[in-house]
Amino acid sequence: MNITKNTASDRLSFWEKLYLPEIAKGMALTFKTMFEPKFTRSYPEEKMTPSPSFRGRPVLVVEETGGRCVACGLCSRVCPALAIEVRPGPIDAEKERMPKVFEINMLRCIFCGFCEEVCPEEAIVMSKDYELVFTSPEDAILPKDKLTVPIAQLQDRLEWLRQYR
Amino acid sequence: MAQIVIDGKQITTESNQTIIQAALQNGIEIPHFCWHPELSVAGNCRMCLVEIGNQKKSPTGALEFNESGEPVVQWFPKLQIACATPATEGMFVNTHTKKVVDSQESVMEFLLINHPLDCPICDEAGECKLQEYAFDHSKGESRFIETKNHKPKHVEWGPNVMYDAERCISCSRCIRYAKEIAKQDVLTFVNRGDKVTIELFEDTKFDNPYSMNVVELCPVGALTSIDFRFKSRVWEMSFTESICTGCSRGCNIKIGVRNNKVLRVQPSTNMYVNKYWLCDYGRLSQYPKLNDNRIINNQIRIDGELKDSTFDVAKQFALENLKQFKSNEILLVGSPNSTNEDLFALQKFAKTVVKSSHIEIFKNIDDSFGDDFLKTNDKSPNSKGAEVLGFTFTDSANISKIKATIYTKHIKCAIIMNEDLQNQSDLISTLSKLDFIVVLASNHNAISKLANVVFSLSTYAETDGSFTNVDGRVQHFTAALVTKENLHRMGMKMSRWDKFGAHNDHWTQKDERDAKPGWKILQHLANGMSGNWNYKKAEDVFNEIAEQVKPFNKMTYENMQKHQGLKLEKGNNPDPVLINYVSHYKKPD
Repeated sequence: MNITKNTASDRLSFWEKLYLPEIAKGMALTFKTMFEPKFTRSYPEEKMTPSPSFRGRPVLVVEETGGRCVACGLCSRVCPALAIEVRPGPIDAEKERMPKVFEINMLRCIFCGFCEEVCPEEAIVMSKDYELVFTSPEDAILPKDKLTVPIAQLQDRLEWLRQYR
Repeated sequence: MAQIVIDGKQITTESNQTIIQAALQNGIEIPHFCWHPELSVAGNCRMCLVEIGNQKKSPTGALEFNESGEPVVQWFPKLQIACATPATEGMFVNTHTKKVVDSQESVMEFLLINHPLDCPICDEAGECKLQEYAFDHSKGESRFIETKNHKPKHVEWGPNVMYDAERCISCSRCIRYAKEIAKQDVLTFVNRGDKVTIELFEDTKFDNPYSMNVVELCPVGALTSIDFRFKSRVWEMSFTESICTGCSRGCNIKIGVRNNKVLRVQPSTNMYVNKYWLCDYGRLSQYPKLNDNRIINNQIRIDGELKDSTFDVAKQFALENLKQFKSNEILLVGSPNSTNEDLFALQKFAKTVVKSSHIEIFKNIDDSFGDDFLKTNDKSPNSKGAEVLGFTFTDSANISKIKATIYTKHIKCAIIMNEDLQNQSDLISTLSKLDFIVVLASNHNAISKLANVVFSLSTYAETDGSFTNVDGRVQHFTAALVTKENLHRMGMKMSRWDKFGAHNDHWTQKDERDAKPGWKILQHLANGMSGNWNYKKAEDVFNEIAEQVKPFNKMTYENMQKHQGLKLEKGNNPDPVLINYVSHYKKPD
């Protein structure tokens, strides 16, 4: 037996079958939205500024007196993806040691923030940097000089950590 | 002999044992810092306090039992230290009651009051006794809110030992070691109470030949070695048991490796050989042998210049040239630095393949080196093995004879394995008169520069094998470093970096050494000439030694590992397996 009920024309009401009122409704929504404020952004011309709780690229904090990191290797140990490699070296200062090699492989990093959590010196923090594009796997391994960020740029993250950690 | 009860377990002690010794032998660990089986008892850390009692006696002298038939024990009102209390007949000891645990927690709290808790920058972290006990025997929280004492940091005690007074828990192990074992009594406590620290006497240095043992002896990070200072965290490395090649004593060592580089050499306990100790020379002389100046590739000489090539090309080149010489025109030089396996293979190669009677081996004696503790004058690890395998050491009279035969062109070719002829410098100049030289070497040296073919030879840290020490103890060791040869072998100790490295990670980018063990290179050469050798691994060679050489009879790798080496002639009668005392554990192990 052929099914003759519930075809397209059965489902539409009389006014809907007329089309024109529906087009008018649609246009009304279009014009209304046109004059409302936009919630999309024309990236990359306009960039997002994340909140302090955002976990972007992990970076090393540098104070005026030098880097905070003492190369204890706890971030490297806790990193579930083995993204961080630290090789320590001695220095002539009260801290006694600093990283000779500090590398984060951004292809391995999963932005979990464990490194920040475990750091006894608050030396590695998650920054707001989310634009991580590399043209080769080699470029994705960031050496120490690409990881260091002056403390002034990280104030709100450090403040957030002090409050919520 | 005494019957005592520790934690309800009946134990028979040997005569003159203290409680801590009796407990250790029966697998009960009593926490302690200052006690060490090889040192005198100081009893100053108070960590090993235990509850001790005797069975109650009735006025008639009969032992009292309660209704259920268990002995009634009268406990001493105060706790006693297990390290200094001799075990006597009928003694009852409790190591886990509340009173004992409370006292351990209090001792830990006192020790941690002035301890800086700088574990993140301390080299000892990961193998620290205080860290271990803070985890196992401490409340985990400090009630101390005052400022901690400050004391001198990074004081150099000698060329190899660094002292950090803040971390010191004043156990006096180093003081007793210096006095009793190293026989250089230069250390002493100064000041009192929480100001106590250890100092050297005026105008002295802690520079005896065994000074670095205090680094392992120290239960905390107060004493660290200068050669390993801030090189790596211990949990990032893999540690493989091996044998020191500094002299013929054959001390057991642990080789600490990270990124295929040896960063640390430490003593490993073997009560039959070196006990807990190792000399500074033994430690420090391993790094240049294993890390520096290595021959990474096989080389052949074309137009007077040594060029890198593959093993197969080098082998073909060597075989083609070796064919030109008659049996007795070939000189073979072995070395007491080689393993038993390599030496056996060289001898078999000389006798059955080349059929040459010119086989030489030189001793490396330094009369000023030995002492009455561990060091021996013979600075090669396997001289005894070479002797037992049937080599006769070449004396100085024979050297001039060899030179003469080279000058008269009776010898035209040489195969030199693992020998740099450092002490025979006049022989080196004679070697250049030869038509063809095959060298098997692991480091660049004067001989490898003369060679026509250089085969890259594995060091002892890159292969399995065995050494026979000066007392005739045959000890087995396994590979700690990877080469192309053993790259994917099962059973090697690996750090987590080794386990999870990918091809694009920086830490996996190391130079791959195309090195092979000596017996394997000789097998390739033998099979290219007239031999038909079929060894798959070093163990196969050793099994043949065990079959053919009488003193090695009945020996196997498995047994050597189990018994920490087997004595010659006693392959089926090994020394008993001892419970080795471990002061602090490495984590993860």
